[in-house]
Amino acid sequence: MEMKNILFDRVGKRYGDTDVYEDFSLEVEAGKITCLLGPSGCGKTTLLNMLAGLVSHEGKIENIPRRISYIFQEERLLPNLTVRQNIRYVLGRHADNGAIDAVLEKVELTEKAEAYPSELSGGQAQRVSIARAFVYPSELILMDEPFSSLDTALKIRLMDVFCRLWKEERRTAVFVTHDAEEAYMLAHRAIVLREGKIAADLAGDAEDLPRPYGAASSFRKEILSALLACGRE
Amino acid sequence: MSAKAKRILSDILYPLAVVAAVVVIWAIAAAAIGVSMILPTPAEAVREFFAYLGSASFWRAVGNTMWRSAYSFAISFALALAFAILSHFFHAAERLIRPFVAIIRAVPTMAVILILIVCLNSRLAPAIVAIIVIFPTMYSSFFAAIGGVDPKLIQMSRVYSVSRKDRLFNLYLPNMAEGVFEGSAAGISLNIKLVIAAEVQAQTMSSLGNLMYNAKWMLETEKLFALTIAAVILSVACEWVIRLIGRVVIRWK
Repeated sequence: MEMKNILFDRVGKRYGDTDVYEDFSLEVEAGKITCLLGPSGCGKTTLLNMLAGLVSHEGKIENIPRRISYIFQEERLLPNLTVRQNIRYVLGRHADNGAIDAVLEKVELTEKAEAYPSELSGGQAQRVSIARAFVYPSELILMDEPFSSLDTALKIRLMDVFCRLWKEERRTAVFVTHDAEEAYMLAHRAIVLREGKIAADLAGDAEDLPRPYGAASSFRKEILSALLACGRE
Repeated sequence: MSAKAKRILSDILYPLAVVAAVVVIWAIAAAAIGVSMILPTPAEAVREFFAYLGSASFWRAVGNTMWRSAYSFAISFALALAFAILSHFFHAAERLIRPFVAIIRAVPTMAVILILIVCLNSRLAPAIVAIIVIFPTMYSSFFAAIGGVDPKLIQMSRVYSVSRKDRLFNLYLPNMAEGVFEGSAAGISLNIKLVIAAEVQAQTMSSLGNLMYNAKWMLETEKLFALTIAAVILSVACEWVIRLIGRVVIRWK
């Protein structure tokens, strides 16, 4: 599948009297994981929702793919459908039992295929959400703080699952977080936002993803410094 | 004792305690009045009730009343569900349906009964009365249920471009099921009461309402109470069946 860079060209977004974005431009590189960081209310989720077509905006965003997967902060599974049915629900006519079985195996949930969401732990439910995003034939994956409510061990495990699946097709991914460690572990590029502007645009080194938790790295230090600078200003 | 056993026991014990309290108050009042033509004792009413159980005309009346209640309820249910879904998805439909429902709701029930008795035959009028009164209640209940579907799930479905058909059958209908069954359980009891009330007014032949009307005219108060017991049992049984179906359908909870 051919993927193009996504271009934000002088994009604007207002909520009431507040300008969240004004003349905002950005190029999101195809086939890479771009991470958006910043303090609460800086417009990270708004940017994802503009890409997903969930909120309107001024200006142009070019090359948004037709099919998009979205891993939300909460798993957003239908309570009345089993794990398998939840995945089938988004696939519709694309539904392929073999693909569903394969992705469930990759996220180690084969034995939970017929379970309802109420029978899953938080980590299992989020794995279903990740599986759903990857089995859906999208060209862009959006992630809105999908690991924020999980403990560190589970977070690292899920990031590993995510990276394993991502490496199979290397789809364009935009990942929102407020956690510098998550950005360091998962992103090729980290963009720190502040009041609707790019405060820092940092390129990661060429290490294999996910980068090891807690490792000393200049990329990690740069992300932390940029975030701290945002907090001070 | 397990929590489940305790819950089941309390589900049975509390209603039984309420029924026992009503019977005790009734028995005390009947003893105080001392005239069974005005207020029969619970024993007299129960004796008449069992006498009715052996009567073919009683069962025919029950059958006719229940059939009228069933089809009027089914029509109200289908209309309310269809209109609620239309109102939710199309604002123009909601703008048209809302005032229509408000007008129907505002019309006094007794006026509806009297007008329909004049306009229609006595067999059809009770069912139409029930539809006119029940439909707005169920519509409001279903409209609230569909509005209560988690907006985050709706948003997720939009992002993944889930078809309207799949959204309706997998997201909206199942997630409004609890509200639909709750509204239906309340609606069926009211429906039966309305049909009987309209049958009394219309003097519909071979119906529970007609049996009640005759018992009143003949001053056979114990029969009137026996028929009331029958109506209560039918309402409670129908409500219970709907709640049971709800529990089976909403199996994921």
